[in-house]
Amino acid sequence: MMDRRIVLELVGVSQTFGDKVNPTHALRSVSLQVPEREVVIIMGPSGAGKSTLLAIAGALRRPTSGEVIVDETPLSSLKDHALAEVRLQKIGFVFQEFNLLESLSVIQNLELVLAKAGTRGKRATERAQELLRILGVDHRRDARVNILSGGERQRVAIARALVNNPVVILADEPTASLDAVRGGEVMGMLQKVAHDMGSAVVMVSHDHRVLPYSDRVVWLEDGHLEDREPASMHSAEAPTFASTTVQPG
Amino acid sequence: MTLLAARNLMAEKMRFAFSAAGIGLAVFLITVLLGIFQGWNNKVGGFVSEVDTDIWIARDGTTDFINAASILPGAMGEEMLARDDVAAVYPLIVRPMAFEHDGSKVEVHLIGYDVESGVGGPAKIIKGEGDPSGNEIVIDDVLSKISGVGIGDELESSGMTLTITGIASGGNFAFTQAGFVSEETAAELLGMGDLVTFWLVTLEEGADVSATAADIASTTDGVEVFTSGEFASATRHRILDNVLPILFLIVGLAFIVGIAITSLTIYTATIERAREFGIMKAIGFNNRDLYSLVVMQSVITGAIGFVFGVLLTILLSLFIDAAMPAFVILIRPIDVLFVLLATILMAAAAAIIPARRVGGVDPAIAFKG
Repeated sequence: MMDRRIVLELVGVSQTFGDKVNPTHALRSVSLQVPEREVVIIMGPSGAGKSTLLAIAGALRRPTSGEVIVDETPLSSLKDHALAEVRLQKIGFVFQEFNLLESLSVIQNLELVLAKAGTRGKRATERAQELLRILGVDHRRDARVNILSGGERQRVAIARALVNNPVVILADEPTASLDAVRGGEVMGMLQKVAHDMGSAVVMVSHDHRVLPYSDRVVWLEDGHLEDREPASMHSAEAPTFASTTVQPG
Repeated sequence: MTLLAARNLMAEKMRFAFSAAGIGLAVFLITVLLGIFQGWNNKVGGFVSEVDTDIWIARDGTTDFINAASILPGAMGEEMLARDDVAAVYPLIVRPMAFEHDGSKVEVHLIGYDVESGVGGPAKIIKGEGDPSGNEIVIDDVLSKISGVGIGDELESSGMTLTITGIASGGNFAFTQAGFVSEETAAELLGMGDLVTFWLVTLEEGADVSATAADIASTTDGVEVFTSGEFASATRHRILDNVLPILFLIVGLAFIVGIAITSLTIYTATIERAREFGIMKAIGFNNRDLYSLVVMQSVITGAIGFVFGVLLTILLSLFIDAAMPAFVILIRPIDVLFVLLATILMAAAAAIIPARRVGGVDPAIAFKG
């Protein structure tokens, strides 16, 4: 691990909500280093601050204190438009509810993000097409996303997250809206993205079935983060995703 | 982004249609009112502008052609003609009056002119003969349509019967229409003797019109002297000054209604898609991109409303031309351009509040299931 480049780092990050009289400490001086090619799963009870951690790591929210460093760029001093640029160029997001733009087709969802990053026309179409092929949804390229199955939508969401070659993918419960087969497919793909394409994957999940796909598990509770051994959390009796092999196109 | 803006609008087709129709009606109202203004401006002052003379002399206190309560002595023509800088002088008798035709009243703005020179006569004959003599009258085309009288019909007044011998264009003053007779016939009909309403003065070549007009005014008692341009302008203002404030008020209201309708639609569409805007922010779009998207949605709505409104205006003007010929709508390209600018302004103004709303959307909303 140590010889790999750190692409996401949280240093003493705290997040407090509410007022001074009744503060809620969602995160208490949390530190985390994520190297490239690693799949990190953040687990913890509901309300532990997992989504808050993901939002801060994804430059969507500024922490009360501490620093977030993405691909060697400290975020605390950046203005809002620069943070948006970091999200565009360095971070890919995969959401529980897919969060594709419903009024656009599959390929248009990808081309929109590519266009924002400055890639247009034939190059954008080729890049989008390539990712859709890798994720096995190129046959749906012109379909409106609202007619896709949940598994197809999540694959398109992963493709969108990858269009600009991000250093880190942040995934929020990516299997929560999927059945076992589709969940297994999506986890296989995220693992493949990390191991084959080099992006780190940081994922929040309640679902113990995702654990076999992780390289590392961290546990968040009462605002504190601690490493856990994946094996210690995944017993032989624990449910697993249906055995599914993803066949990229 | 344009595609996304269009798709966002089309996601709720009915609402979009209502919004575009609302803008379209505002555009329609603004264009029609401008068209009416230009129509009146053109028709009311147009006749005066077209009369081939340099100077109009009227009785002191006369303000314009339509309300021509002017009486001048016949001898004044000779006085004017005696001037070195005057080439020709023509009498003009003007008075609104009512004739009878088959028991119906036909209101005519009677113009008695010098038939030999044609100065002050009909601008263009579109049917029949153009030089009325004796008991002949040439009426304006619009008067013919409104009153249902035509060539060969007779108009009676003050014991005289005039026969319509020609139909002319260019004599529609919006509220009243011209009937042209010879100066002698007008004088007899109105009992004017050798009195006239105006003296029209044509100057020698090279004479300074304004200086001559000023000189005539200073050397002749009891007269108002106008250059042709001044008199046309005064005639336009006489009518338009009364209606302009009302026109501007209605145009202003239409503008505000257009903004309100678009604003409401774009705001509703923005609120409904707040989560989508949050997602866009999350994946790397900044506030400026989202403002552009909102403005684009507004501008697309405005553009479609503009096309709809202008088409509606053109259709209405065709209908009005056939059904109400006196109701003149003149749509000039420059006015259409003005309305287009007004529409863009409406669309931009309508996007302000929704854009501010978008700016406040939390991108972390994307993480909420």
